[in-house]
Amino acid sequence: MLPEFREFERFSTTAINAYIGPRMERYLDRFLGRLAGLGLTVQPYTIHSNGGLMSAESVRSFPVRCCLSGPAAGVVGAAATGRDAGRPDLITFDAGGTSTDVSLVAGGTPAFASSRSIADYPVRSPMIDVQVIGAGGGSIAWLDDAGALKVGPRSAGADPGPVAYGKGATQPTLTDANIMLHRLDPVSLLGGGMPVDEAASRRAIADTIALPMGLSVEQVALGIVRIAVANMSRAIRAVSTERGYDVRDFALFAYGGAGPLHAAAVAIECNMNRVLVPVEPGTMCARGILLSDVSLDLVRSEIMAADEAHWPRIVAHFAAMQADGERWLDGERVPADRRRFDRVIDARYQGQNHEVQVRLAGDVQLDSFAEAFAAAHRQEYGYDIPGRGIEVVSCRLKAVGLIDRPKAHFAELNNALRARTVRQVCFDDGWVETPIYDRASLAIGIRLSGPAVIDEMSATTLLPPGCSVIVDAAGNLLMDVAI
Amino acid sequence: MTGLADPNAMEVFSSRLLSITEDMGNALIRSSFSTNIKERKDCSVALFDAGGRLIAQASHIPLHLGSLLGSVTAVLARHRITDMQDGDAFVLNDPYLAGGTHMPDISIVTPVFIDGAVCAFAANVGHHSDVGGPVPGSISGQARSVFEEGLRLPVIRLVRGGELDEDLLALIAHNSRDPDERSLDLKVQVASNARGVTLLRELAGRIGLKAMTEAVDDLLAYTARRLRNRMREMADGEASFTAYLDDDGIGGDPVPIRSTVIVHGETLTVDFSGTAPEARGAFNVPESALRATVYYAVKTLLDPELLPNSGMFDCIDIRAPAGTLVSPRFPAAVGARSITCNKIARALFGAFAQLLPADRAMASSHDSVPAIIFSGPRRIGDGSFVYLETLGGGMGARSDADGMEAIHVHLTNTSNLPAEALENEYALLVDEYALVPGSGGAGRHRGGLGIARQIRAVRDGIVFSVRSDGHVLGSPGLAGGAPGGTARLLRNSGRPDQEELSSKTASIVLAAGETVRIETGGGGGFGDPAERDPAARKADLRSGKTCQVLTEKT
Repeated sequence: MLPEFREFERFSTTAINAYIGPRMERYLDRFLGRLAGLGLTVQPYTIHSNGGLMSAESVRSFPVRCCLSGPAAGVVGAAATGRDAGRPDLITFDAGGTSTDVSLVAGGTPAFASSRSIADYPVRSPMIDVQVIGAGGGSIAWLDDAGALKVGPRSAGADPGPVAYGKGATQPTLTDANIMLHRLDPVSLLGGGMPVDEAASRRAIADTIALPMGLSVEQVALGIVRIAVANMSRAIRAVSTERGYDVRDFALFAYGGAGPLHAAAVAIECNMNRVLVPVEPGTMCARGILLSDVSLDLVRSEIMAADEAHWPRIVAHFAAMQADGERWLDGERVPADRRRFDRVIDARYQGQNHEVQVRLAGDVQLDSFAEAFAAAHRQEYGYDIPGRGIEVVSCRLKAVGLIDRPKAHFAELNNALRARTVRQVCFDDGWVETPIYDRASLAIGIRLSGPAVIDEMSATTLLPPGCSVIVDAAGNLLMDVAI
Repeated sequence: MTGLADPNAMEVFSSRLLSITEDMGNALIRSSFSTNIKERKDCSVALFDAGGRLIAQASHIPLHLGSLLGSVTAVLARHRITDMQDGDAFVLNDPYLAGGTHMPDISIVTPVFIDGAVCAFAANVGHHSDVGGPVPGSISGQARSVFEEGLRLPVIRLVRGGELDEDLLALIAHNSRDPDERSLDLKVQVASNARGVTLLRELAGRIGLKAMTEAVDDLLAYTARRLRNRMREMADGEASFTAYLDDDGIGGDPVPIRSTVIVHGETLTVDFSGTAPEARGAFNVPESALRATVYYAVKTLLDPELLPNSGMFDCIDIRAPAGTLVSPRFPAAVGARSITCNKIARALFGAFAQLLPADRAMASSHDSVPAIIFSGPRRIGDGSFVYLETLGGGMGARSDADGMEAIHVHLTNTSNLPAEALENEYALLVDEYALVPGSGGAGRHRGGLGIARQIRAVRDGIVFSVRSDGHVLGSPGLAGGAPGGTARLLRNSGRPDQEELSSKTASIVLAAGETVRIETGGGGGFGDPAERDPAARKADLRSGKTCQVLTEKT
């Protein structure tokens, strides 16, 4: 299951894998049965928490590798979209109904973690490092008994959801605040498919918060949004400073139902001046799967000095893993010219207890490894120690089968820039008459200046005064934020 | 209505402040050199206002909760803020001269200048693995005074107007067994505060100094109001609980730690009258460490989400009679205070249990920080190693659940060294690493199990020391629950020459093939054992967590 040193993590991972195995097995059987019933003859893939694809058979053996794979798919999609859009350095900002997922993509490559805690148990498996915080559109706004306005961590979820959805909720949420401020359509959402009750949002905010605080409902609604934005921004700064990056060098890649709505404010709070909103931001995680390759992570653990004497063993480990990888790719029916092998060595200075991951470019050579190790150590810890011995702990090989990517295609675009309608929207400085655009009506190359609201089926993008946006060739919204 | 100037701005400000402390903490952990700070995260960062009130803290271990308060108070007592200049930074550690918690915890305090005046302080503390003294690591339970615990630093200006005093740094570094590590880590500590200074200035530039001052006042007033609300919800009353250390580090009888918690309206007083006189060994608790322990207990039991700042601290009145274990007089040794702090937590939890609803009470946990230290030749080749590990034990049972097994409790939390790593590097083998069957106190809910770890020397000349406790008295149960099993330490377990060792054994030498076995204590049980769910009882037997004999007895 995990031929890697550190007995507790290995045991815990194996136990979690065994625990979820039977449930995954039943689910797969049902799922594959229904696909067959639909007459589908193509082999389906599932997504791995490392962002790669794997066959249903691999999932049966290693179900633990699916943990948190949904958010990972979104990050893979974001990295690919960002690379194509000339924005390889991103912080992904996926705000949904109950939570916000944040991760870092540097040079087009998502940041990986070798382990994380799942339900309080350590699971060691290479995975895209996604930080989750409990803040989303459904986060409940409430007044605590000492007079502070709080947003979350409790969420109204899908049921009862925000008060405006009319499903019996009485506690206002972040979404209610956005409806009351007309940042979200105060009449209906989902392209007119779901009516909302603005008056109910306003009443709930007035009764539970504004009256006891002695503030106007607008002040409270603005406060709710500002507080939620401050919480989300804290998570964004943390993922960059943890890895020693400056957040200002990154673009904010906003998706999920509530991401594009808060992206400009979050960018301003974090001193980031670029925002990218992909097409169909509400379905990014699902589409991310289509942008993934199939891949399998292999590992051999043996602690030894990184020197001339031991190097042949390291080369041999990689050769053996490559043979295993080739066999696995055979099983996945990946043709020879679509195969790639990524090699990583986990290494540390002698005397250290934790390793840094060193990516090997090309062949497995001692000299280039030592240089790459020093560079990786500088990035991870801020310094290197010339002359100190290096120890190899694990050799990792990722066998990748490249998948043909679907070409993005758009409906015929209408070149005339025409607002669908105009409504009053409340920004930080008060109500402003704001044009509302249908995203599908925005042609490539068009530039818009805020204030504006851009609506589409799965999300709403808010462009505050002072910000501007241009539609790129792939249909992404590239926003310049005034900071 | 709320009495706050701008509650919305306060909440946003609070997130921004925490973000700054997280940024400083990340810079400290990422850039530091020593395992202690980088990997064990034995460090904390905080921001203070110009008056020395703590306004935000990123604490990685509870034992640091509020402990930087003592450092900033000491700096302010030594220097007027008008005598400081932009770019100064102070270094300090001494428990008696500079509000420290023990010598290895070195603080750096940096004034934040905005518009030409000190408006705040950035501060951080890191546990340095060695600051000199007779033993490696600078902590010995047998130390008789602070003069045996390494280099004492009063408030010293290490950086003057941006100019680091390299001579002073060299003096500090060369009083350690690892001068390079000291020097690098202290520079990183200075740089982490500088990061905090930059970020705080940016924030003030963004919102204005007046709004910042207002938000600080709001934040502290709000925190105090919130904690006073929790106090008001409790019925007025007074309760005491006495916890015991096995001995005072040198030997003798069990040492009582008595806490009395008094709730009256919106006031909370914690009185330690009745606690033993200061110990001859290093188990004394200086003021900063005592405060951290009390703040930890109050936050955990009354309001876990409460922000740790001076608004909270100022609501709690701590009384500790001078000359006792919890208020030692100079020059009493304090290095091994963490075990005592966990026992103080036991005394506080025991007293609060009588004042709070049953669902917030728990039986006593093992409440120790057993530390084992092996040193000697490496497994292969030349060179020597020092291997220190602190072990978990059983957690006390709660009103609705069994105690967790094999876990660090209360004020400390560190990861274990994998047996595979240890065997690879050191001349040691792990014979066994297991739960101790039957060590959880019986009850409606069972106490958690302790840990057994048996280690074998594979070369001659392995030196072994230990600081442990709870070898004499087990963790008390609650509401009719039985006490948890006691800890023990055996040399050559199962051999004819098996020998039980004292919980404070120092520097015994093991020959190749000899073993040391430590069994840590279990947690106390909660409720009458007769009421235990038969299914849970069966499951315990099946998994070997209890033994037949023990079960029949209940």
